[in-house]
Amino acid sequence: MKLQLKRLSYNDVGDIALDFIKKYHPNLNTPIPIEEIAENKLHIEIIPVSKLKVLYDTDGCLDSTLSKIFIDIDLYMKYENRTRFTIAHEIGHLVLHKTYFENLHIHTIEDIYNISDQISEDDYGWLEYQAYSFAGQVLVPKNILITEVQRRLGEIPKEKFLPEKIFSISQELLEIFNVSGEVLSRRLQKAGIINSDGV
Amino acid sequence: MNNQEPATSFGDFIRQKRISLGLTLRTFSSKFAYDPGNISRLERNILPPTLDIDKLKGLAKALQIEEGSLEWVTFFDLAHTAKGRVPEDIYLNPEANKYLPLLFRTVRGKKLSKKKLEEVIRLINES
Repeated sequence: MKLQLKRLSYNDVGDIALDFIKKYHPNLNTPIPIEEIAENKLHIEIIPVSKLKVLYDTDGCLDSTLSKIFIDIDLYMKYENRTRFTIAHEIGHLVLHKTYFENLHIHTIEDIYNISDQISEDDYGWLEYQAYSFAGQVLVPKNILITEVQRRLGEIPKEKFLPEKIFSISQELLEIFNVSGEVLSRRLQKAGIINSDGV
Repeated sequence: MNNQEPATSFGDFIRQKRISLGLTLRTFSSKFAYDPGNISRLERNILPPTLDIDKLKGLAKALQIEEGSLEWVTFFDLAHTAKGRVPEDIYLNPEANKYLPLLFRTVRGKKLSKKKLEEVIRLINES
């Protein structure tokens, strides 16, 4: 099965993420209130589900009507930054892949099973890469990240900062954006602030 | 709650009220020590409200509904109407799977067997 999926680059997804933030959170205050955007602006219902993670290795997923996000209840109540990322990721699917999902015409369990069996690893990889990229760039917008780093450390040098240099402000950045260290690290690399050897 | 259609069910009413207070399901549940699963079920009208008047009053107060106000009356009227009512779709077809997840792989990229997929669908439809 081929989804005819557009191969959007990280920066292409970033442009879409920025448009999304400007539309739904124009004051750009951080942390980006992704749960409020989901519930209040996109009218998505968040439905906590027990044992989704422990039994089925799933943090969360959209429903076939694209109006609900199911999320593991432990993750939801105990790990705020992972919850925020999961919701942003699922919104990424909604924003980027709505048409593809609608065209799959999912109405039964068999439809889901057949698609999961037939979807190519390449297409699946792109679907996930794009949703991950969207989530990271919505929660940690490039320009805001650069501004916050420059405010604390001055201009970003041509050769970029060494990761050790960022370490002293990383806790502040984590609080500003309310994301995990892993997400912050990737955004610092992708925004050209630290070199890609950084952790 | 001024810019929306008036809620016609208890679930819609409390969801609109919670959102109008700027509280997510998570922050509301955390703040007042409610089970988010139960609040979600109340809001989706698949769990009837409690018959316990003190607990209902507690929920009304958590939603900052002023005692004696028109909202207070509406809250209790809708709760009364919803009490003991079985959601129609469950009544008509208890086996119906209302929700289907767009779940093609696990976090680790594994496909779910048909049996596991059926279990997930049952789980989310019971949530």
